[in-house]
Parts: sequence; structure tokens; C-alpha cells
Amino acid sequence: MKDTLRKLVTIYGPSGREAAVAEEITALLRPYVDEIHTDALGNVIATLDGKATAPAPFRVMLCAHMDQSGLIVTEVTPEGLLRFSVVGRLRATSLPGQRVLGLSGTPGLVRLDDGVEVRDIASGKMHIEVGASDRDAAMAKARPGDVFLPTASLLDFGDCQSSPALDNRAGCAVLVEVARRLKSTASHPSITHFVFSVQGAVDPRGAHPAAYGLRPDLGLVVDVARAKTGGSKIDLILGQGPAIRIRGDNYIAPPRVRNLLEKAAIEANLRYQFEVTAAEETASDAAAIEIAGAGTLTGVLTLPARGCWTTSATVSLADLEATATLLLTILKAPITL
Amino acid sequence: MLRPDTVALLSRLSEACGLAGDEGDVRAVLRETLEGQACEIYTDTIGNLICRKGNGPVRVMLDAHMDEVGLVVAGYHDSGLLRFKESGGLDPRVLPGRSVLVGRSKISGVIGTQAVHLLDRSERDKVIPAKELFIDIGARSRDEAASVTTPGDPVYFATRFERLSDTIVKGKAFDDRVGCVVVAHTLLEHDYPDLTLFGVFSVQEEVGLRGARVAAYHLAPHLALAIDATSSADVPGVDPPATSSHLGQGPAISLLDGTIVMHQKMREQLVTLAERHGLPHQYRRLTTAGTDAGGIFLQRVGVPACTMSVPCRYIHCPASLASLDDLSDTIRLAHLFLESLDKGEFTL
Amino acid sequence: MRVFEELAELSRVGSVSGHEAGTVAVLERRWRQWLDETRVSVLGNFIGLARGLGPMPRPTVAAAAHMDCIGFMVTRVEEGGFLRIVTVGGTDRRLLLGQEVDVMGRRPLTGVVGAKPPHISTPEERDKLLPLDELYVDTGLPESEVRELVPLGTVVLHRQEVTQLRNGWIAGRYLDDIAGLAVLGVALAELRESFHPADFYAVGTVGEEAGRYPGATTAAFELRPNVAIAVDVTFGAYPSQDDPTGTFPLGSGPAIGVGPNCHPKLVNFLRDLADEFDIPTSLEVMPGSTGTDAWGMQTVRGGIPTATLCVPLRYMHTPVETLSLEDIRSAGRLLALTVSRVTWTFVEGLSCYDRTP
Repeated sequence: MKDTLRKLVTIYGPSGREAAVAEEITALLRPYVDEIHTDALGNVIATLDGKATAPAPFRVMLCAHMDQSGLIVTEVTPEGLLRFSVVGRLRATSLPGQRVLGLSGTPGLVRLDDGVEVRDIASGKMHIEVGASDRDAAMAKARPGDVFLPTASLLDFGDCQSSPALDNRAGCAVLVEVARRLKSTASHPSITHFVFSVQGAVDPRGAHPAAYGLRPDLGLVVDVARAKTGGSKIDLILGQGPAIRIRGDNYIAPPRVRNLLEKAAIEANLRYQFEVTAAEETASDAAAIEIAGAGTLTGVLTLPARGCWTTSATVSLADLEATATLLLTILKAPITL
Repeated sequence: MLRPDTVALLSRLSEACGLAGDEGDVRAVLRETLEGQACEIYTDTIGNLICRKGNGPVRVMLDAHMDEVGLVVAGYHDSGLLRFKESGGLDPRVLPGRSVLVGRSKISGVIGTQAVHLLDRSERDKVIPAKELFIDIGARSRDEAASVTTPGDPVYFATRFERLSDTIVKGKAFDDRVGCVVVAHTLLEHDYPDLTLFGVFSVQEEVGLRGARVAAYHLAPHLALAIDATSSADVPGVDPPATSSHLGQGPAISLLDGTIVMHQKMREQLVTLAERHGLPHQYRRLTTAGTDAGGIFLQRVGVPACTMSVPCRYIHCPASLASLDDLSDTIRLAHLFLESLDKGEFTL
Repeated sequence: MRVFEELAELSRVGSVSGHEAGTVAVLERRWRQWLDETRVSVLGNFIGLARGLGPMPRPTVAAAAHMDCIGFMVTRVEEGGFLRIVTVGGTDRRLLLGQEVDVMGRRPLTGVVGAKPPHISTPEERDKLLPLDELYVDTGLPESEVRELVPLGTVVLHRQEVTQLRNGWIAGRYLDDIAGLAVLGVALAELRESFHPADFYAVGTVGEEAGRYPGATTAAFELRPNVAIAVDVTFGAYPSQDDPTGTFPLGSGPAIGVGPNCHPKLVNFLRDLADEFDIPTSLEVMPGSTGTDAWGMQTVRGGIPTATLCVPLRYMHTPVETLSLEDIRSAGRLLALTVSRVTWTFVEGLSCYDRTP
């Protein structure tokens, strides 16, 4: 899991430009699945056939978005600084001082404009420094439309790992691990689809056409969620296992799906938590999968992340492993909802 | 340079009246313009006007929306004044002191306000909320007003199209009649044997990209290019990137907006073609708001989509300004893009 | 007083978004007598079919009212057994303090919404609305028992019985959109007595209050109706809320929506029928989203002609929503008449959009 995570976090893949991530995921996944392709929008869709001989086998769609939040350059100033907008959920307050990298490895540094008060911190009052003293010199290094990403290499604390790209390469790593283990499992009656969706760091988007094409019987989304980080209002705890999301933005867990997830956690003797929140940033691909076609019952498992949506997000490998185990527990047996 | 009949079409479209859900006038002008031009023309259930040209293997949707922002009659005051609501994202500051046209029969009306002499100091500096404004058509009673209008009737700005100079034009509804001109011109002037080209004049974009979603579903194109108008704030007191785009610098290619990150290859192809042919072009700097591409790309199993816009000043206001050079360059770039698809030079 | 009983029973059930099974059971039982088939969709929509009597192929009309109501869910059990809650749907924060609530845990419990008492709040605090995370629900039970009985995610509802007011007016919780369901009930009863060529789907949708119309969108996708009407509530007029362009007196009949979300030919159809049969109605001009299931249904597949029919309701999203039973009956009658007059010719006419007939 750590190796997969390490590989995935350093790949350049902002929303709408996921091709490199798609390529790596495809390479990682190919040995474990029967079919894998990329659709018209860039979603990676892989399928592991089920071993059941039932006439209408149950289809499960696992989903994790593979894009990450980034900074898109909107202007090059006469002094050679870059203006930008955040694409995705990165908090502006975590940006000043952050080192960033552009597509071809162009280095940059985010800085607050002079004279900005702490309470006024916003992405519109910052710039990226690329070491250019005027517009022409800057344009040689970066142009409007380029996306810079916080430098993302994994900071290894042992069980805990930190990187700005954990939202949602951590979810992708879990799915890759599930595929790896499922392949060598004797029994997996259901057809399992692994979808790595595009543009999910912004809004539930790419997952919708993917679900429309697959028409699964059950959707299961893996994403990151806020864990308690020094404040008092959040209840998820890093290291206490995956969270079964009961309520998130535009999402309410169908009771049957919630029970399925909880039963599996108990059966596998895992520590698990519940997440009940109405915060806007908690939109997940579930909202898109649910309403595709005639509808799909969808569940969400979230990985507790301290500093979620900042450049210093931290997850626990044990939580990731437990999430994979939970999913495998569900997939190893016939599913009844 | 634009042909005179293209400018004439823009003039007709600018003065035509089409609010979200009530685009009939615009539809009629476009139908008349395109009839007999080797396209199959029809209207779908939600009111999109679809023109299909060609039978080639690559299905392309070229889209512009017919609806503009404006007002709707919502009720009456006993005195005969009309109450109204806003349709689409109109800036309420542009309403007082306006001439308008009400309903299908284009009854003349005005939106007035209290004489400034009668205001006290503090009121003079405040924006008048839309709720305190009325439309006056000269009716003296509620019954009289209700006899010549109906709740739901559209209300338009009485702006005439005018050419301010060789290149700059003024009119209402450039968002998105300029796009409609690009699509119509493309259908009239060009043939693409390897494409099935769907010229889609969509409805209800201003209230949520509604028509385009429906069209993309039933047409199931391989890719879609939306032509819209975008805000140019290249005016005093605004610094980049808030200026977003500049009049005279060519079509503004979108990077992303609030509904979609544009398809990278399509976007890059537009830039490549513009550079190769020496066409002025720019990026739209704003990353908010939405265009039909956002409604199109998630239909069925996904449709690669991108938006290209004609820069316009004062975009959701009664009188917008645009450059005919920008319009002409947008037409040219759209054609180059379709041509590159047709010739197989560009594939997804 | 069948309509009253239906409203009272559905109000007692109180199905918060995502938990509509209770309402489905009531509808199945109450409407069985008028339906040829019933089923529940994947996401939980109730779908009842009253088959038409015309020859095949028959046009289909769907009318949708949402089964879900607004409410709260428990997000945390605090020390001392106090419950913290988050909203589901557009609840009105101004009314929470001091309200009695039903806590639908492993067994139903009663609670009171509390906060720091006024005599220890500062004067500034007393004038401000408390944010939801400073309120809590007090069940009076010890913490251990609360933890046992109230799992995270437990639904919390306002506690309110339906009350009869004068003039056939009713007040109660969740009449948005139980009123709509009652309208469907009235229409079904009338249709059973009459000839209708079209198939009629009475749909109870899920999730309308929670944002993206998952119920309506998937139901429309599945059923592919030729006509879809959303039956919901609209703002009832009263002294501090009497803007004539957006509020409607109780007793003035249902409001027919006008605007981009309402197909003009369908709107005229409804208006003409109302005139012909002397059913009082108003016009509700909505230049954008109608905020009803019609918004979710209109752009499904190749587009569906939609309309809205809304019952005036005072005090929306409070526990004392108030309406006139007569408005429900009028709306139900109009809906039944509409369904019975839908023919293939009419449906074919809808696909040609232009307003000019």
C-alpha cells in the first residue's frame, strides 16, 4: 500500500488533466483485472469478472477520483509574478509559503501579496514566484492555463503518511489494493468495476457518465474526510479506521447500504467510525453515481485525514488497509441489499 | 472582415427577443435564415433548434444558446403598474431609468424611479432593490394592465443595434446572439463531408444550461464545441486577471469554469490552430460561471467539450459592446477546428 | 374527511430525506385500491400505476410529489447525554430553541432543544440567533442509556400533531410535501371513477429536500413519461409575507407554474381545464428553477414536458405549516381532469415547442 501510495501521489494530475495518473493506474491495475480502458472523458474503468454463475450477476462499482486540487495560472503580471485560482478544495490559508511544481517540473513558490492582513487571506491575494524579474522571463517558464501543484512527495512517518495529493490518491491506492487482493481470492461472486474518475476534486462529475455506462447494482465511493486536527468540532479520528459516511453534502446513506458496510466491518473485526456532516466540501462522487440512469444505491467510505484539504494532509496506512479489508469482506460474499 | 449579411444577421438577432423558456422569436429568425440551406432543421421537446448537416462518421455538436437575460411580468399593482421578476443573472443596478418592451406584441414601457429631488441624502447613494421598481406601460388600472399583458410575459430592453465604428458594435443580448451568428455562419458557409454537424441553438442556458443537456443526450455527439460570449472588463479600475478578456484580442478560449474543466486536447487544438494561422486569440481568465459545455459533457457516457467565447463588455446589461473583428476571428477559428476534424488532422 | 386522515397519517410518519420507507408503506396501503400496480424503485421512489383504458400505445402521464421532509440527524453524543444535530434539507434555524422533538432512535424518544439559558448569556448573545452547533437535544436520559439508544445518524423530527383550524384549514409538520401526496390521492380516487386513455403514474419521490432531485430524476429516467407534473407547495400569503407575485392566499386554489421549467402548452392546457371546470387557480411566475421535482425531471433523456401544480402553504418549513383542505381537493380535481384529457394528439403537439399554437 505504501509503495502504491508513493507512486500515485507524485504523479501530475490536476482536475481535467488526469492522463498521467490514468496511465500509472492502468499499469498498476492491469495484472489484476480482466479488462481496463479509459472512456471519452478520461475516467479509468476496469472490470474484474465475478465467479458467480447466476444469470444476472451482481455488479459493484468502486469509485475514487484520481484528480487532485491545483493552482491554475490566470495571469502573468508585469513584474513576473503569476496570479492563480484554486481548482478543487485546497484551503487558501495553507498556501502561503508552499513550494509548487508546474507540469514540466517548473518550480515555484506561493506567497501572499504584500500588506495582506491575516483575516483577508484568499487565493486572489497571492501569487506564485517563479524567479522571473519581468513578464517575458515569467512567460518563458509558465503561461495562463498552466496548473501548479503543491510538491507532493510522501512524508513518511511510519504508519502515517503526509502529502497534499492524498485527496484522493489515498482512495485510489485503496482501490488498487482491493483489486490486487480480490484477484487472488477464490470467491468473489460479483462483477467488480474499479472506476478512477475525473474532475472529482472539484465536484461530483466524471463518476456520472461512468455509472451511466456501467449501471451497477451498488456503488461504493472511497474518499478522504476531515479528521480531528487540533480543533473540537470534528469527530473522526485518524487511526481509528475507515468512516462510514451517514450524511455528507448532497448525500444521505441509504439505510441498507449503511448496514451492509457496518456488518462487513464487524465481520472483519475492524475498527470503524461514522461520519455525519453537512459541510459543503464533503461532496463526493456518490451524489453523481446515485442519480445516473434509473438510480444506484451508493455508499461512501472515508479515510480520516488530518489537515484534509490543506497542503499537509495526513492519513494512516492502517486506516487504508482496513478500508481495503472492509471492501474485500463485502466483495468476497454474495451481496444482498 | 465580416460580410455585410453576417452583420445584418447579428443586428436582427440582437433585436430579436428570447428569454429562457421563451425563445420563439430568435428561433424564427434562425429558422428563416437557415431554411433551404441543405440542413435538416427541427425543434426538440424543450425547444432547442437543431440543424443537422452532413452524414459523416464524426458527430460534432456546435452549440450556442438563444436565450438572453431580461425580466418577466410577475403581477400587477392596483395603479396599473407591472410587477416583474428577473430572468437569468441580471444586475439590478441597470434597471432604473430604462426603456423596455413588454410581451409578444412589444408594448413600450419604462422602468422609472422616484425623482431624485424627493430623496433624502442617504437614499441617493443606495442601489434600488428590484422589488421597489415597476414597469409603466401607461395603464391606469390593474384591469387595464391585465387586459394587454399576462403574468409570464417576457420583458426586453429596448436597445437598438448600432455600429459605433468600423469594428465596434452595440446592442443587447450579444450573450449569446454572437454565438448564434458563429454557428449559423458555419452552417451556411461550409461543408464537412466526414462530419455529421449538429448546429444546436439551445434554450434556457441562462437558468442552468438546460437545453444543451437535452440536446447532447439525444444527439449523442462524439464531441461538442460551445460558442458563447464572455465578459470583458478591460475598463478603467480593473486589473488583470479580473479583466478576464480583452476586446479586439480575438476569441477567448476557456480553461475551466464553475461547471467543467475544458477538454485539454480540444482546448490545445484551438490554440494550435490559432497560432498556426496567425489568428488573434486569448484565454478567458475567469474561472467561474458556466456555459453549455458544462451541461453537455456529462451526458450519457461523457462528451469531450470545450467553450470558446466572443469577448463582450457589459455582458448582462442592456447595451453590450463587441468587436466585429473578434466575431470574425471566432468564426474563422470555429471553421478551422471543424476542418481539422473533417480532414482527420485532429482526433481525440 | 379522507384527505384529512391521509395528511394526519403521513404527517405522523415523518420521513426525512433518505428514510422514506415509512411513507412508502402508508401509500401502498392507502392507495392500493386505486392502483393496478405498485413498486418501489432502486432509490426508494414509490411508483403506482393506474392503467389507462385507451388502446396501445398509450401516452403516459406522471405526477410526482416528494415523500421526504426536512429534519435533523444526530452527529454526536456529548458528555451528559446531550445530542448534537445537523440539518437535512432547508430547516429553519430560528425556531429550534425550546422546541420539542422526536428522536427516532432504537426506540422513539422525546427531547427538547436547548442551549445556554438566557440569564447566563450576554445581552449581545441574546439578540443573535444561535448557530446549530451551539444547540443540543436533551432527552433527559443518562448518557449510557442515550449512547445505547441513539446511534449516530439517528433522525430527529419536530414533534407536532396535525391540528384542525377554522374553515377547513389544517396546521401540522411536513405538509410540504404531504399536501402533494394528498393531491395525488384525490386524483387517483377521481380517476378510478372516470375514463382516462393515458397511463397515470402516481410517484412519491425521495430526496427532494436534500438537493439534486435524485428521486425525480431517476423516476423520470425509468418511466419516460410523455408528460410530468410536479405537485408541491408554494408560499401562502399572510401579512408579513404578501408579495403578490410570489405568495398566494389560502383558499385561492392551486398555483400553476409559468416559466422555463413549465412547458407553455401544458400550462395552457391546465389553465383551460381550470376555466372550463371552474376550479380556482393562480399563476405562479418562476423565471428560473421552480424548486420542485419538475426541475429534476425536465432535462432527463431527450427532455420531458413538465409543469408544476402547487398548493399554497403558510409558514413553510416550520412545524406548523398551514393550508386549506379545499385547495388540495381543487388541485386533485384539476390533476385528474388533466390526466383524463391527455391523448396522443396532445402529446405529439408537445414535442413541437413553439408557443404559437
